[in-house]
Amino acid sequence: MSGYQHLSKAGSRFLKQVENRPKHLVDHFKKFEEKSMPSFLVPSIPRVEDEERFKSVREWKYMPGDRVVVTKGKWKGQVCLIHQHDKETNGFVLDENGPTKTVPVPKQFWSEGQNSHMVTFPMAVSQNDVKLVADIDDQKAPGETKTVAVRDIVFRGSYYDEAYKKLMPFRCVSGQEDLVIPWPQPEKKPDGTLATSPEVAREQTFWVSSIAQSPIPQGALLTIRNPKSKFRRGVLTARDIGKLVAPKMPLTKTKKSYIAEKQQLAARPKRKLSDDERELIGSKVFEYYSQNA
Amino acid sequence: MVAASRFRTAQWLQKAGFAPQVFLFRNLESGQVIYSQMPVFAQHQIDMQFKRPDWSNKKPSTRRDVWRCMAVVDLPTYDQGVQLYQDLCRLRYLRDVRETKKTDSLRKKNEDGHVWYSAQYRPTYGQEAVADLREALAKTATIMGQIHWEDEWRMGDVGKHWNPVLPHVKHAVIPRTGNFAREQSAILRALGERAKLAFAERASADKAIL
Amino acid sequence: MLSFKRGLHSTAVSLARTKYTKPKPKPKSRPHVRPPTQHTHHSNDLSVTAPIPPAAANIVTPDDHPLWQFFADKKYMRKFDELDNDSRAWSIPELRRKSFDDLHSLWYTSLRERNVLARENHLLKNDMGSNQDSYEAVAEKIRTSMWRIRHVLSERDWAFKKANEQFDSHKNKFLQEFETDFLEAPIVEDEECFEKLTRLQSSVFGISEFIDENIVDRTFVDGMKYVANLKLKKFASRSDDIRELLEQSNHSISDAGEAFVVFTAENSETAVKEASDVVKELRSKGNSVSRYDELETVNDYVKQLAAAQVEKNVVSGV
Repeated sequence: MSGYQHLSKAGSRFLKQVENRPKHLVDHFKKFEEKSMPSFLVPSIPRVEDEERFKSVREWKYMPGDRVVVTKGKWKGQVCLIHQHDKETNGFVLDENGPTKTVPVPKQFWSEGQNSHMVTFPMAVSQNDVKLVADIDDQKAPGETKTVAVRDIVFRGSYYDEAYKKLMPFRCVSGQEDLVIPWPQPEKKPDGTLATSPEVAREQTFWVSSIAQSPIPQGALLTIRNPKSKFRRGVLTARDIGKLVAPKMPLTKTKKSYIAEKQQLAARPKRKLSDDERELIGSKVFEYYSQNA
Repeated sequence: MVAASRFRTAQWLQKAGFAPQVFLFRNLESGQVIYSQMPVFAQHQIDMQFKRPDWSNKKPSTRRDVWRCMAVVDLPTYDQGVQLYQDLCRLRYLRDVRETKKTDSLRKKNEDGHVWYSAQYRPTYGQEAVADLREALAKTATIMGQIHWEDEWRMGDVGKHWNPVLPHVKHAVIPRTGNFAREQSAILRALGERAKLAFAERASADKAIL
Repeated sequence: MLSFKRGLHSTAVSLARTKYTKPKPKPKSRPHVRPPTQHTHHSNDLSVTAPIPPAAANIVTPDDHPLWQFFADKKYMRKFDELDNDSRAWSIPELRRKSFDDLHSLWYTSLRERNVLARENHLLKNDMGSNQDSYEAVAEKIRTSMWRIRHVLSERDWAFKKANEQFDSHKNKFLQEFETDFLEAPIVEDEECFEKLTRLQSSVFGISEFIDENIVDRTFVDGMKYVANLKLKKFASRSDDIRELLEQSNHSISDAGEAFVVFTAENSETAVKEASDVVKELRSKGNSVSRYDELETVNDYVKQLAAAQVEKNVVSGV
């Protein structure tokens, strides 16, 4: 590593090639990775590729603060709170009721106040192994609520959530879509330093006032777009056409000989009927008709 | 003959219109320092001041673009100026020839035991020149004097290194606005004119007292 | 007698004392000897001392040093949790509401922030050898805002160009409709009508109310003529002089100089009448502006008028 790779793309194609491991060896490499890595760094569920990582709320389904019940393994039946998302594995890190593992940690990784090599870590749980737990109105005892686990959820519609400060889908119970399970309230955070207040962001300062004056200064135009862009030019150069048009399929030997034969046949001189021949045909026809008549 | 191509006496300097000054030039590539009696230097100074060149202390070239003025020392009289120059040259001789072991023991080393360097550059030469300037000024028995530094950084901690030894020496910084590399000769000339004027004033004041 | 002392073959000869040897003569006395010019000598008590290291503490960096723009809160590097990881990029609909000046300043604010982040990212990657992308992630969001700004401005420019193309075909019809409405309006609505006219001249011809803001081009001159004609026609029904002028000039003025006089007149009957008198005077003198140097002439007029206004303001201010 040169330390300049964030500035230059030189050699990046080669690096990509190196990273592209053959598919049949992926598991093989993974096994070695797990063997060579210290146990406290090995995730409990497999890591996912960058493209497969969850990005939206719809993919995650459950947010930190949600109550879930573990449905598989040693901790089956435990109701826990989601602590955070584990982005590397698309898993959920649960609170102290959830699955944990106790592993040795070398001294250089010790945190302050630690006095034992053995440390208990929470294990991430995959989405398939948890079910959402919610309080719903009890139909048998009106006015009271009961706690249920939801088999699955679906998303219907969306609304602006003040707490998350973005559009969030309504989370409904699959099969009973009038039952909406609200999202957990995240802890409030002050706006970041780069944030703009909504009033300022929403204030309109651009008004179209004249058709004779350009809305942007003439000098700024060149910095905004390339007026000679080949994508706007509307004319294809010979080079472009060469790239766009597929080459002609080469002919097979048989086809070639067939075409040559055809040409040869076509090149033969056409026979023209001479006057004698016409006479002969005419006389034959006449003879035939006169016989039959 | 170039003015700087040989040793010049006090009388010669005065007659030729130079000020009672000593100039220090540093090499941008290697960090080596040249002392000169006038605002220019020649091969003569390099030959005289690098008596024991080796791989870590090569004889530098006279390329003008790699040399910058590091400091200018104003002195009350031409004789003191000459003596300061002689002292500086002597100290360089001591460092290079007579007391190499002591000099070497004072230098910062890298993990290989060589003088610390980065590429061609050895900062120790410039720092030694500052120390030598202090030592020479202290032994020249001059009470007055002013050092014009190229920047504040180069002179070191004044309170720790300069004031205990030389409390009366004044420190100034050469104005660096604009392109210093290009304006260097003009700036040095202006400094020289000012020093000459100060010398003339002092001489006339001395005469008046007498 | 043989000498057994060893020496060079010439030594014995030269050292031999014979009766012919004479002592060397004394050098002549030199009464005018020049005294030595060099008196000083290096001190003999010099000693090698430890090198004096440079002191960074001597340098005081001013608070307004331009390179501070590459630092956040004058910190060498921000920690990851000090970064603004939660904010999102500006969306395109949000940017569409903002004026060019707002977008321009937002662009430069973003650029400055990205400079800071790029510096920190470079230190992280190059100096510390880390592969964390925390700085890049924030910078990427800012970059998104920046390309969106360019997108919005480009979109605006296309909209302007397309609208211009479409408007060209409707322009004459639109102006004619405006003219009939304008002329048919009763005297009571005069003020309103002239306000409308001011808006029209800026929206269709780009003529600003403030004379010094204008750039004289073909549209400006066309608009000026249109407005001057409208003014004359408006007051023609009320004043015989003006009607006379209109009839003389075939119901529309085409000379730029004349149009300028009427255009700059106040929106009142007397002022327009005065202007029409001036026009008549011009015609009697035979002053007219050629169609080929209309633009230059009108440009000169506009400049003169602006200068006169400035002078007037200064005088009234005093």
